[in-house]
Amino acid sequence: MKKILLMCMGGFSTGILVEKMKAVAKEAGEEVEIDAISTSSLDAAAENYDCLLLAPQISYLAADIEKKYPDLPLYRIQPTDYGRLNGKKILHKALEIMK
Amino acid sequence: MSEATLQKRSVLERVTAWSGKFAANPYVRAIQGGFTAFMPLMIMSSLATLFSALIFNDGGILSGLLAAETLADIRTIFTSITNGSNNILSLVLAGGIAYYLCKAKSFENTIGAIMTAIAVMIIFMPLTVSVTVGETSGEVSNLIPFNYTGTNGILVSMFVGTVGTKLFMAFSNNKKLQIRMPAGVPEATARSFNVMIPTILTGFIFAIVGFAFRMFGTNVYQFVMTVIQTPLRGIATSAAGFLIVSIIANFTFTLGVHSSVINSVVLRPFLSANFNENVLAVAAGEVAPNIISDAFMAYYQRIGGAGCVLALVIAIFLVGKKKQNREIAKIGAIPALFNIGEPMIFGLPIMLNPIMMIPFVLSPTVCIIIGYALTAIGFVNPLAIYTPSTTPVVISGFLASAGDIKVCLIQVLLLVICTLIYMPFVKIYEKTMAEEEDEE
Repeated sequence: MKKILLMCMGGFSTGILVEKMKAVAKEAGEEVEIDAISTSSLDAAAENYDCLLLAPQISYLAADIEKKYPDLPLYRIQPTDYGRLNGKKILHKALEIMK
Repeated sequence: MSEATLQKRSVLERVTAWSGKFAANPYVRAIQGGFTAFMPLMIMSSLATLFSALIFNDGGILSGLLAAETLADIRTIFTSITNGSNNILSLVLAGGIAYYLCKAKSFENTIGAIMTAIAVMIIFMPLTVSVTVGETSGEVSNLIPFNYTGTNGILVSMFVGTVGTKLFMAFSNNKKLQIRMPAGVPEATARSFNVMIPTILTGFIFAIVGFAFRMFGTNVYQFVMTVIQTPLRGIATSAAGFLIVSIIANFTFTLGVHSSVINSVVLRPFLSANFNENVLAVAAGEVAPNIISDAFMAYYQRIGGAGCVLALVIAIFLVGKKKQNREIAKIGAIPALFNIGEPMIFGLPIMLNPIMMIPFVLSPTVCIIIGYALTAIGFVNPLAIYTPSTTPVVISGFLASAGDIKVCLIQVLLLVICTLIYMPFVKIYEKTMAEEEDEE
C-alpha cells in the first residue's frame, strides 16, 4: 500500500486535509495510507513514506528536504488547493508523483 | 497588468523570498524547534498552576473540605512540577536547540551534541551561590541556582545551543582531530575516541570563557542577562515593541511564510521569560507581573487563528455575497474555531491579496492594544496559564485565567471588534472580484 505524508508547521492544518483526502480515497477505492506531521518529526517519519506533500506556509523548506531525501518524491501543495482543502486534487497529485 | 502592479509584485516577491530564506535558516529552525519541544513541559506546568489555583488553593474548591496544612502539602506536588519545567527551561532548551541544529545540519551524533550543550550550561554556572537564611547570608558552593536554569538563562541557552553545538560539530567533522588507531583496534573503540575529543575541546573552551568572565568579577549568565537579555526583553515585550514585531510576523504570513517563524526567534525567548516569571509568581501566591507573555499572545492576539480569521469567517457569513467566499468560510469555520487559520489564509486567499492583507494585520494589532490596555488598568490580571494552541476562544480565556469570566468577555469583545474590522474589507474584496469577472 502506498503511503502519503503531509507536513505543515504543527501538523494541525494538514491534519484536517488528511481527513478530506482519506474520504476521497475511500470513495474512489484507492488503497492508500495518509498521515500528517509537524516539521520537527520529519526525520523520524521520512523513510516510512512514498511521498511528501508540503503545506504552502513551509514551502521554504523544500530545497533542504530535496537535498536530504533525494529519493522521496516531493510536492508543494498549491496555496488555493490547500486553503480550499481540495482533497481530491491533492490526492491525485500525490498518486501521480508516486508513479 | 500595469507597470505599477508589476513593480509591486516584484517587491513583494523579494520580501517573500527573503522571509523564506530567514525561515529556512538552520539556526532559526533550531531555536524554533527547541522552543516547540519545550511546549509539553510548559503545558504540564500550566496544568499544575490550574489545579493549584482552582482546586487546592486557599479559597479553591477543596478549601472548606480539607485542612489548610493538608492543602499546602498537596500543593508541593505542583511546586515540584514547576521546578521540573519553568525552573529548568534554559537547561533543557539548550539541549533541544542542539538537537534541532544537528538535525538541520544532518549531523549524526545528536546525543553527543545534546549532552555537551547541557554540560556547557552548567560549566558556565557560577561556582558559588549567595544564599540568605534568616539574617545570615553567605556564599554556598555545590548548588545550581534556578535563577539561571530558568527564566534568566534563556539567551545563554540559545547561545550554547547554537554556537556551542556549531563548535562541537566543527570539531567532530575535523578529520585531523580523529584519532587513528593502530590496526587491530576494534572500530567501535576507535569511534568512541573520536566522539570524545570534540566534547573535551568544547567543554574546555567554554570553561575558559567562563573563567574569563569570573576574572572580571561576573559570570556568563549575569553578564548576558544584564547587558543583553534584560534590555532586549524590555523592548520586545514592551507594548510598542511587541506590536511592531507582531505586525511584521503577521505581514510575513500574508506572504505565505508562517508567522511563528519570526515570532519564535524574535519574540519567543522574551515572551517565555515573561511567562515563566508569571507562572512562578502565581505559584508563590502573587499576581503575575508581566502583561505581555506567551499567554497574552495566544489568548488576546491570536484568537481564532493568526490574524483572528475566525472573525473573518463570521464577517463573510454576515456580509459576504459571493458563493465561493461563503464556501471557503464554511470550510474554514471549524478549523478557525480551533485557532487554525490556514484554510482561510490560503483558501480565500489572504495570502498575496492586497485588500485582505490589511485587516489580517490590523485585527491582531487592535487586539493587542485593547488586551494590553484592559490588563494595564487592572480590569483583569496578566495571564499565567498556557493551554494547547488549539483550545477554542472563550474556553481558552477561561482556562488561561483560571476561571476569570472577565477574560472570556474580553475575548468576545475582541472577536466582535475584529469582525467589524473585517466586514468592510470583505465587501471591498467582493466588489473587486465582481469587477475582475466583468473584465473576463
